[in-house]
Amino acid sequence: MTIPQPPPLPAVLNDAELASASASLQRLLDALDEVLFGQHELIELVVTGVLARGHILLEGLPGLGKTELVKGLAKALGLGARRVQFTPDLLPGDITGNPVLQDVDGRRRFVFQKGPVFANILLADEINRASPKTQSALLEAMQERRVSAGGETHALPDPFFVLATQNPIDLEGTYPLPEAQLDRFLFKIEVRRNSTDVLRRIVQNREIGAEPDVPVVLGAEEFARLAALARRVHVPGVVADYIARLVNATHPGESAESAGVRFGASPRAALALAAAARARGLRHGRPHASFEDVRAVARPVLAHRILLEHTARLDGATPAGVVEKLLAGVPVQSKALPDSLAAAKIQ
Amino acid sequence: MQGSNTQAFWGRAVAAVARRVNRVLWAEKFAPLVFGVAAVVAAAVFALRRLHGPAAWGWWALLAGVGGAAIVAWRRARRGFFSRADARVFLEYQLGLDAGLSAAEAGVTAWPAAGGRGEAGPGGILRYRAGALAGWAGGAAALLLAGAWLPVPEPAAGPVRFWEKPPALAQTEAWLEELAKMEVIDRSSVASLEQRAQELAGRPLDEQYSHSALEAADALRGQTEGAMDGLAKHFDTVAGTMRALGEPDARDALTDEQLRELGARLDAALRGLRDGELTAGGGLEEALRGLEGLDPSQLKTLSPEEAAALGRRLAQAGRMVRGVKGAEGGNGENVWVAGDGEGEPDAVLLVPGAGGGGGALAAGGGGAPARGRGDAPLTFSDRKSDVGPGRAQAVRNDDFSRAALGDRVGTQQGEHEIDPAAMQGLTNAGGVAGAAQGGEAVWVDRLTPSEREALKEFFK
Repeated sequence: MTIPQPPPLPAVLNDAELASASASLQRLLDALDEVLFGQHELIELVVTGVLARGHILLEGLPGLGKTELVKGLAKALGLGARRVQFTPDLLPGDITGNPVLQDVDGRRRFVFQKGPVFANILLADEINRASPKTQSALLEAMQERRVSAGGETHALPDPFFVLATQNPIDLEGTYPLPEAQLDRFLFKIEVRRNSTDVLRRIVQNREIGAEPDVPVVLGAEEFARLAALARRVHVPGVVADYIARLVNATHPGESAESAGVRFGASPRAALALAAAARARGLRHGRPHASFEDVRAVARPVLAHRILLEHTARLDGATPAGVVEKLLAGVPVQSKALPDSLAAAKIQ
Repeated sequence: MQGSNTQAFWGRAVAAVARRVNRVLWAEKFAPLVFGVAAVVAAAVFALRRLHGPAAWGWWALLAGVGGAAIVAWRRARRGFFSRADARVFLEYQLGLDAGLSAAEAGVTAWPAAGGRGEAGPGGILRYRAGALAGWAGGAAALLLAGAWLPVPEPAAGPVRFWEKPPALAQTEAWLEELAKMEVIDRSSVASLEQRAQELAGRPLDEQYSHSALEAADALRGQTEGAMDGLAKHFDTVAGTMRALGEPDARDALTDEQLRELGARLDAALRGLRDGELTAGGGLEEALRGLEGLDPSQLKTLSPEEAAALGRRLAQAGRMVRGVKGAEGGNGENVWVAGDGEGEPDAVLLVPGAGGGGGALAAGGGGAPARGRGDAPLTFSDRKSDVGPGRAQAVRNDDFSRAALGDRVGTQQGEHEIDPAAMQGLTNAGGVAGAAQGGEAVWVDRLTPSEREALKEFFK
């Protein structure tokens, strides 16, 4: 018996595919702009992340619209979303599901009752308030996109994203995410506060307790098609080389910019950079990823994967600062420019 | 066709970027090397100028050094040279082409349109920061100029040495030169003395003033002087006899006894003129030979006119011989005059001494060639030294820094300074009398500065 294979897709995206993808993504961005005013960069990154089929960790103060953005994204994509408020007493089964004793055909059997993780989009609110045991229950779901319980493996729906939020303040009673779980998140995005103009728009157009009305702009199938197109975006060898050198430079001793770093980014980070760069290239209507794509997503991809020395943190160093230094110090070409020449970028 | 043109356009732009970057990379390696070469060459040129050597060698060395530096710089810089791929990546990133050139190279997309941003070329995306290069070049030029133009001091005037022959030898040679010119002296008799003088003069210069050479020169001078004295004396003797025979009155008054005595003196003189160190020569030789063996009684047979003429010739010959010595005799002996004052003499000269002859040394001592006595500059004390066996003297040493263990350096009377308040009562063996500071020791000694800072921050 032979397994029927789908017809192979052309290696290079054609202009029609690129044009339709750009138009669809633009509609999605416009819809989300109506949900979250003035956060274009944040919305771009979130859309890029989900297009790359990655999980996203949003970090920001309460009330900045993190949850609204995730709910709006689910509505715009027409996907099923579940929200779980993580608390210290939350158990793993409360997320993944529990076997429940039920009558089945006259016999009492344990039937697996699916938890909220069985959704296209799982909004894990304040994920750092759950115990490590509960957090680790998400590990398998995030990486393997399946849940094992009672000796059985249950596949999660496709697509499946975890969009988690965490609060940088009120750290008492929280459990910092372990490095292994942080590495599963494609992006960690800092949500910044709004400007005065944005606040005025919010005041004029929003009301407490009333959720914005978000239309479905993309169906699940359309979204799956876009994700497939993103995977076909070409990554030139020189761009792949730049990604490799950038990730390698995060490790202590590999570059001057990595001073104070205890552990650098993993190979998964390089894969994440490439996937995100592909998604951004598609978003900009290109059949290939560019250096600009890599640099645009480097900070949310790498910052949470870099662990600093205690002393470096005391000196005020931050992972994001290290990434900024790496972007400034690692040239896009493999050889460094001589000191007697200065590059002048033409915008 | 359009695509190939565009590809060629970007190919030229990439090559231009690579050339410019690689040129600067090479220059960055080349400039410090040139500075080093210039420093060495400048120092060498300056040194050569100071030593009044051929400074042109320095400039040839500069050329060779610069050539070598160029090769070394190329070998060092080539590892960092931009390949075409590097230049293409740099160009497309700086022009904001979104990796369009690399994607086109891979066949993923079309080549970006020529012109527009591409017209910026290498000059538009690369700016020179030539400060460091100019610094190296300027420094090298300044060093070379300094090496070539800095004034050098005039050469220090070292001791100038004039070498002259030992005075005795010089004087002997002068005598012999004069004697050789005289026709009244047999040339062959002078030649034997000249040969000995030449042998002495032919010895190495550093042996000219050796003890043996000086003694030989003195002996030769004495021998030559004696020969001249004898020759002049014999000439005078024969001339006196001839003058006596040339005076008719005096000739007639000569008794037989006087004639015998005169004949004996004449005979002795003639033997001396014939067999002496210096012998008569020229026309005199034949005239004197006729007088040899002449019986004293036959002396009166000589024509008075011939005798008088011969006497005048012999007297003149005697004067001439004496004149040779007399011309030198007024100058006396040479003296050794060294530079006065302390330190190296400015000049060491052998100059003729003034004053009359006689051979006395104007300055003796000091081991001079004239071998005069040289006393050590010591003076005798008024008191005789009272040392000898069986006598002991005390030696006192006030330098206590060299006192040995057990030496008593000194004694002093005083009291110990005791603090009665320091008493803390009786303490059992093994007890601790002071407050422990173990934690402090760890805090101070075991932690690195960064760890201390971290802990301070933690406990703040």
